[in-house]
Amino acid sequence: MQEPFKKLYISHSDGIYKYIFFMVNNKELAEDLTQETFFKAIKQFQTFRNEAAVTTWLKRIARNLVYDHYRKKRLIQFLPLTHKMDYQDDTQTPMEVVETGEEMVILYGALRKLKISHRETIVLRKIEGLSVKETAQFLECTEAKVKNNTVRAIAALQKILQEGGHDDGSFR
Amino acid sequence: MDRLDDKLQKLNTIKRSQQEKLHTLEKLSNRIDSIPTKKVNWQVPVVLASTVVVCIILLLTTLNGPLQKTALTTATESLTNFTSTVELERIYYVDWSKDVNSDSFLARASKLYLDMNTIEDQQQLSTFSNYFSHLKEVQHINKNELEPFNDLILQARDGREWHIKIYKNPGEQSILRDMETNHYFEINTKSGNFDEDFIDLFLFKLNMKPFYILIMLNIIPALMRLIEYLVLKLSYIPSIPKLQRKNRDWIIQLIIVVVCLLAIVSLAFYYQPINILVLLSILTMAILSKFYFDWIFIREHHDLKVQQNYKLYLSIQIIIYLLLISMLIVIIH
Repeated sequence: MQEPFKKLYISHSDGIYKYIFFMVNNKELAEDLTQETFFKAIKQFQTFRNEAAVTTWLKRIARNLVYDHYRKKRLIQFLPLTHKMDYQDDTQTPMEVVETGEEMVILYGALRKLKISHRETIVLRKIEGLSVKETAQFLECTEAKVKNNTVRAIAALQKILQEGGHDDGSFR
Repeated sequence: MDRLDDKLQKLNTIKRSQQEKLHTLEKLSNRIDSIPTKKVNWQVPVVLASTVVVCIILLLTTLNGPLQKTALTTATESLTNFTSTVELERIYYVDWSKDVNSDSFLARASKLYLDMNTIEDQQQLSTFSNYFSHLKEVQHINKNELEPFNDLILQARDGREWHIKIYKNPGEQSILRDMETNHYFEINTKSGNFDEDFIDLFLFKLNMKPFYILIMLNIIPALMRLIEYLVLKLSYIPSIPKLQRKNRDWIIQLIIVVVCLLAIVSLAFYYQPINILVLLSILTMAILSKFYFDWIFIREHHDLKVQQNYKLYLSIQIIIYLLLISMLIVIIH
């Protein structure tokens, strides 16, 4: 592999990995999809037109892969003869999350239960800390929609936490 | 809320295993190094489409065998040689009765008489044989006042042919022009029914083909879209993201859309075989390029399971397309 691509991977892969990891909740799968993202990016590098930042471009590829993954999962459910186990999420919380503390494990668990659009909004807005404008640009939707989705996603997350018995105020 | 925000932000501090990061890099390097250097050739669908179109033209030519007429055959004769004893075998006429102009002759020169219709009814042939044997040459004529009406080729049983262009002004008698000698004739007054007979002959056929073809042109893309929607909806085949499309196939798509629109507009106003051929070529090219790029894309980006679903999906689309093309050929024929 050429040196510039290696540098691209070293400098951007952590961010892409985290985005994918929170979207698919599976360490190994996140690594695989990160690899796939960079593979596609390198193959299609000539199509990159500098209209967006490299990070955004890479993240868009990653997003397509994540959504493809979920579509594939639905296909697997549609075809009962295939090995569903291959496509199930981790049941155990990864060590990387455990290391950040008990509260984070609970939060991570609640995040996993959110529907994908809510989860994506929280990952972009709250975990990665993108602004409303940046999120809207990335998702190719209006800023009003992002704001609306953020409020709903947070409400859904709080509801999950409350239902899980974590209603002591520490997550408010 | 702030606390929840803080905690969510803290999730971003999770550390990715450096070992796995490097392991992924190694796997990525291996994959990149094993990419074949051969590039996807975007001209392939164009060549493929051209081949299909040539096949369609050949098929049409074969199907139209008995109607095949080459421009100005050697057996073309002067209209003055036409007598009442001539037994007509058939009459060819151009289908666009109101718009005969130099283009009709260009169409003839192309040797593709897709638009040529025939009169083979024995009674009509003998009637016309009678009409054309009572011609009177017009010596002085103002060409600017003539309004072209129709082109005819009369073919006798003995192989002789007469090429005629008919001019008709409303309320006036028709004028015939012998294309071989460039002389003008008028029908003898005794056969005053000529105009009515002649117009009645093919009035019922007018606009039938454009009508069917325009319906087909609407059905083909609509049906394709519907199938695409249903199949994608039912089987959860991953759609091909615009972001990841490549090879500048959008240039082909753009050209296709523009030319297709022009051809449809042109066809709506002026039914001409060349328009149908252009449309057929464009449709073929559009559909084949779509198949080609989709197939290349899924082969490179999806696993075998998804590829199998795509194969089925594309095969159904190709079969439907071929069926529609066959129907189009039947209608043209």
